[in-house]
Amino acid sequence: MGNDSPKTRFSDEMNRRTLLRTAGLAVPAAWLAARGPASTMAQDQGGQQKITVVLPEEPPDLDPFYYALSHIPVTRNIYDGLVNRAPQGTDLLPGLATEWTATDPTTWRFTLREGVTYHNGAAFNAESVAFAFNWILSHETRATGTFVEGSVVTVVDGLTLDVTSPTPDPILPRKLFFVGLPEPETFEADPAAALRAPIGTGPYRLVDYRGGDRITLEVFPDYWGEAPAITAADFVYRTESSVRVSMIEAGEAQIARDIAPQDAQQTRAVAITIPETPFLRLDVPSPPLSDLRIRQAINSAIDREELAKTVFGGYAVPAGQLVTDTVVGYNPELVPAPYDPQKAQQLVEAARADGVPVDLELTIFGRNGIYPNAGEAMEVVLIWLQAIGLNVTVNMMDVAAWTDVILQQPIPEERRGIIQSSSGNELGDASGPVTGYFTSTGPQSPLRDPKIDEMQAAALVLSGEERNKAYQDLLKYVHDTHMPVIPMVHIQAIYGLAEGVTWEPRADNLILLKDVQIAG
Amino acid sequence: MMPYLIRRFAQSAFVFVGLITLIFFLARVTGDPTDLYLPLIASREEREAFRHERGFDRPVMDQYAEFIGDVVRLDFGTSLWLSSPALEPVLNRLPYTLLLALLTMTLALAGALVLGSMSALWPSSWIARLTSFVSMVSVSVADFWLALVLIIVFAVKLHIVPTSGMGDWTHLILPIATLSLPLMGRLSLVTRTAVREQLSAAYVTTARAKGLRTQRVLIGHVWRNASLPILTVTGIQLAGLINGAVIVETVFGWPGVGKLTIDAINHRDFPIIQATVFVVALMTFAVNVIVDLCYAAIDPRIRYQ
Repeated sequence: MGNDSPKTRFSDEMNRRTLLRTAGLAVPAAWLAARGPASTMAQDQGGQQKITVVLPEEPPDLDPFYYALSHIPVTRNIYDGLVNRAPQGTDLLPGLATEWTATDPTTWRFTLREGVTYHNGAAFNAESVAFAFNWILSHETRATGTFVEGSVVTVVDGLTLDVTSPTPDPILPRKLFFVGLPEPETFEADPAAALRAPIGTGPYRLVDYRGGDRITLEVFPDYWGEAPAITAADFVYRTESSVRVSMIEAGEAQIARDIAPQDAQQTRAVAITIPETPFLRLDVPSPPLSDLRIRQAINSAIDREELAKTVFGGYAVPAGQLVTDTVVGYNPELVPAPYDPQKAQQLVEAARADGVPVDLELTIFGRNGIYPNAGEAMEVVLIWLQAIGLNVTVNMMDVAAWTDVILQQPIPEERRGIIQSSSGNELGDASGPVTGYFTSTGPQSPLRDPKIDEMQAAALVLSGEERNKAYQDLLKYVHDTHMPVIPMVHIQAIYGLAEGVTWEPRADNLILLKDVQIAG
Repeated sequence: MMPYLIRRFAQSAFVFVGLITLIFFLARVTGDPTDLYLPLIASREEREAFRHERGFDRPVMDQYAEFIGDVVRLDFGTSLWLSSPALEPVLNRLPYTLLLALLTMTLALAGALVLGSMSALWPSSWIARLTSFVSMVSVSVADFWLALVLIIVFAVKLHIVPTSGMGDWTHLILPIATLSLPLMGRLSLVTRTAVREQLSAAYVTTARAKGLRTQRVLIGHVWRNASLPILTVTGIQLAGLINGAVIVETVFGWPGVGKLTIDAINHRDFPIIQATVFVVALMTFAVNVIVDLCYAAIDPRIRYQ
């Protein structure tokens, strides 16, 4: 996909010369050009390799306990967690813990890595992990919810740690992937300051944090793992995807996160399917949406292939459920519904014949920017739904107003909403979406089905293949009997890479500088 | 002069109270900040606890009374999003916006005076036609489009300036070009009209009859008389620039007040929104007072008591 071949380079040069001459700007331009491009090219001086990574937004702090897209591309280079993930899936790999086993249904035992030090020289051991876990258990942090309430952390010896929970917590290691481990002494002394002056055990340490401008990291010489090739990095922020691409093309940045599909042709783009699934949330209590046939009709009216191809520029795959195939509970039987407007129309007509008020106006409550081309996606959905005889309008909203709509409980019967939403599943486990979207107490759930609540309660405490099976059954049951959500596609994250940069995008959206290589 | 200034400040105090009140209530009309701060899958209990802890569940009038008391002490509360006192980021960002605004305005004004005056002096010359063509185009062009085109042409294709961001003075070129082009277009049209009107006045004929050269006539007589409408438009535009060139700051990743405001709105961060509005209102007030004082300096008939 790269367009930086010698040939285009040459024609760029030619362009530049002829254009400048005609514009009569040659002298000042030459002077400016002689100053060299501004500062941030990849540099290779005496074994020093520095790159610039451009992100869509600035992390307002560097909280080790906050697993958010705004933070993790930076923070996960500074902090390690007990466990890491395989780059392309959700399988766990050793991190600061080399082993973890459930010694009984309510106890997890972690064996820690030896010889690890923090950026300030402090030693890492079971006490430091216990500090972080106890902090989360006793303070309000952005990682609250990691542990079952009432869990107890016990230091067994210098490098062994037990976590005991009042009820079984089979996915604790999975959840601990989201928790970075800060150096206890500095963190405890001033937790607020530690958010801006982070000290972890990761391969990079903070050099400079200039709000609004950039965050600079440099390699940590005493890192426990292999020494990375990249010795320093700047993280900068540009809201516009096209500007991020321009920075790659101008040589100002080497990695750009979150490129819009329409900008991807302009640069060397790499993509990976991430656990992010745009879907439509239906107001199940409102007629005519209360009739299952209407919900099934909507499901068959969406041309997922076309949506993936045009709206997402080919950077998406059709979805038949809210979770991707790397997630525990993914049910291979739930294939994406084929596009079948005739079947959909028949379902609508059958409902009409039974006296269902199919002509009542439905509203698509869209949210601007929830994913790339969110408005366009809702426009085509509108056309598809009108084509099968439903009376639909679109109302695109900003995040604040939209949030009020999707969280409103109980759902007002006269609203008749089809709400644009998107399900992320960083945890890699179907329990999250099931709780949030399907159970009676779920903040976004349109359902009140005791059977779902029971199945969920039973599945939550299972582990391994039993858990997988239980969630597969649950997803199938919800799909067959309720269909409260219409999954559309699984989207891909697109990154722009400068010529000569070798790096594989990860399903978890991390940008681990230690995995980046630069040619030359 | 002093009584005038005192009166202006007294009047503006009322405006400020009104403004702050409006902002306080408007921010709450858009919804509950709890929803935005907590993840969507947070349970109802978690939401309640958060609301209680932050005081969002107290009667609005209580929240308001406390808020006014704090504002008097310039305490706009703590930003939920940046976890710092709200005024701090606004004051940190203000110099960047001011730098951009003042440089843009200087450049646009200088260009407009030259182009506008030349068009008025020689209305049928190629420069007059070019000026009106460029003015119309630059006023009609959307700034985000202009910004992206400038980036692609001058940074990506020609490599003569950086695309965006902060650093040395070269980083200022594209944002200033984007902002000043439409401004120069607008101001040169105003200048042309004002200068042309003055050129047909009797005193210009007299000055010319005395044998004064065109430059002297223009600088010594015409500009001074033509400057009031130009000053009015400049003041309005400058106030707009100081409010933060939201789009240009966003596109170029320029850490000014405009970008901060947009980010704060997206994070539903009440304290920062309120602090921004307060500071920006203060700046607008200052610009207006300065413009008023300039009127008096230019036109001896204007006196403030």
